[in-house]
Amino acid sequence: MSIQKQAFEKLYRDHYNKVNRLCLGYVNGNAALAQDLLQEVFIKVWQHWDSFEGKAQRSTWLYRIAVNTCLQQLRSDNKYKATSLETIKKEVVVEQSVQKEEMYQQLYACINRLNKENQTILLLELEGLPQSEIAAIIGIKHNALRTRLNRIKSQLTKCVNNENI
Amino acid sequence: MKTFEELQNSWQQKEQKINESFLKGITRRIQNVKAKKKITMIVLAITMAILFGYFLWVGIYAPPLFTVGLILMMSVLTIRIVLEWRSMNLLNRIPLDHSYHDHHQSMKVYYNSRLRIHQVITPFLLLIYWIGFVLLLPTLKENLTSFWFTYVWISSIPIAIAMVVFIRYHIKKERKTLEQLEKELSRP
Repeated sequence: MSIQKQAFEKLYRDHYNKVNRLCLGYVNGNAALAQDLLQEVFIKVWQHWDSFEGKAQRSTWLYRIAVNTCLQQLRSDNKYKATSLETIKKEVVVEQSVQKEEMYQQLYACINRLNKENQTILLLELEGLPQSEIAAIIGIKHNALRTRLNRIKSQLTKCVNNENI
Repeated sequence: MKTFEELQNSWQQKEQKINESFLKGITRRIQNVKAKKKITMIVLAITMAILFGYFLWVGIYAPPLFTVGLILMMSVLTIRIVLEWRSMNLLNRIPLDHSYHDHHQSMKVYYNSRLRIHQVITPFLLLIYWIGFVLLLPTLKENLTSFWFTYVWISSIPIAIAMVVFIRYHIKKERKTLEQLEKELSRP
């Protein structure tokens, strides 16, 4: 197996769940659509492997590809546009308790109320990425991100706790 | 009352079994993507060769009006093929590993260029195409039976309608994507 293939497989396994959660956030928690997005992301990662110049971290590079690929797919492919909470509710998630799953549905619904840029910022923050890395992925200044993030986090918690936002 | 940190904690606990079969099939999938691109290029090259061959076969010894008409129609088709190929390359060249804002900007430029093609260049090309077709008619009338001549010009009507519908569909599609791009940054 080539060194590139080995490195790719490691990146895939290390970031599988992180990228999957990002994709889930964009498609309202629809697991099948998120899986399609995830596969599209990793195909692009493989195709653009040589474009990594080492200026940023490999994870920043990966997240940039993931965000841009997911959003481009959402814009251009109609199958992602019809995502609604109704379609997700039909999916059976065995591993999660009902209560937890309800909380995720509420989270997805609240995330979906934001515009795509704020959704991206929030999804990356939920993953626990450092703010400097989120700023580099989005392409805004760190200070601007910090202010915006406070507002988005407060919006999300109010929404999840069923307060008016 | 859940805090953001609690939500974050729950979020990070949502894990799924890694899809290992994807890793096994990725090389084949990438080869398929490359093969599709190659096939597109081959189809385009064959189309151009057929057009050129047809011109050499029919156009050179035909009356000047017919030759001019044929040249106009073929040039339009060639320009349209080249434009589509260029557009496809342009999209593939947009770097995916740039920041979201830079990528968003590049996509806006790309979709605006697509809109310009559909709104300005394609209608102009279609006009030239139909002028070319009209120039063919006198020669066709002389050389075809009245049945086939009637068939040719009547069948051109649905083709013209289909072309207009095609342009309208693409204008609508690119406009919608541009609106979506605007929304991504503007909605609260």
